[in-house]
Amino acid sequence: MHYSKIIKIGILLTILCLGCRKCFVFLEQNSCLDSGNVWDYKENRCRDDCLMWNKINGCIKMTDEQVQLFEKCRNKPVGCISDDVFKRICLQNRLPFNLKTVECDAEFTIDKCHKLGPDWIYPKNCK
Amino acid sequence: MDNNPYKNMTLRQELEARFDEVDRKQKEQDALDYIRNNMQNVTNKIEFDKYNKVSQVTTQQSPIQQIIGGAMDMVSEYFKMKKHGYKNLDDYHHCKANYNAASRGPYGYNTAKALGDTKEQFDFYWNQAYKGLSENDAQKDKIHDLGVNASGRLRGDSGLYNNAKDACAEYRAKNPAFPEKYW
Repeated sequence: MHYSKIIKIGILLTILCLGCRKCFVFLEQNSCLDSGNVWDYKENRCRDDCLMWNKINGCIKMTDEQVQLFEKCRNKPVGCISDDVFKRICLQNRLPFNLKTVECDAEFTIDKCHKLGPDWIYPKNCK
Repeated sequence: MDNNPYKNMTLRQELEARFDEVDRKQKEQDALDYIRNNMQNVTNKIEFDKYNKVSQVTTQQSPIQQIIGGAMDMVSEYFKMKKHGYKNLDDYHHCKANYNAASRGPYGYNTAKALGDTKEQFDFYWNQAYKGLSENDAQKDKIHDLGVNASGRLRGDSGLYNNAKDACAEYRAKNPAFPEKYW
């Protein structure tokens, strides 16, 4: 009788702890996104060195200088970061870059090489 | 001399007129707060002037539809932001969520305002307690986000834009790598 009571309390506390942890991670993610950063779902942490994060290619990494530039330009008007910076980030992560729209295809896989259209430039690994 | 504008009205008409007056004053205050927080951007002043001249959005939705729809707009945009995971696009998603909710009508507008203000107030304390920001920095962050929320709502309410993508384009430009299919 005594043991069953302890087990019940133990289970309840475990559920409570798991619930609190989930809630805490949710709040941490929320705070991360709200400060303009991205959440790394593999490493479960907030990152300021990724231009974006997705399941296919993970973190699209930036150099320290690029991170600093983004930080400086966070609340500045548009145009603070030149298109050339985006192009470099994109190509250094082996992703194609659209010269017209400045878009970077973060979901790119090697089988899409030279199939995206005329305005795209492709990384070196596309032969 | 009697200056009472409600003099020749029935009680019902007077009440409606007074409620409209309160509503208008609240929106003007909202716009003023927004301008005060974003003085560095001249276009905001233009937006404020336009806002005062253009009639409000006329909506077909019932108040309940507006409230639930507005709340859903806010929640769905939050999950989109999480799913896409692009840097510096928090302002864009804030603006878009508020635009969509406010363009539903006055109840949608107020739902977005209530939810947005509550979240920012919570973040204000969280940023100090968990992230260790100073009160001043947390306040700056809160004011910035409230300004973006207000701009989204005002644009949604003004009827000047075709959709949220156009209305919030200036925030999206902070990360032009964001692909069009997600706009």
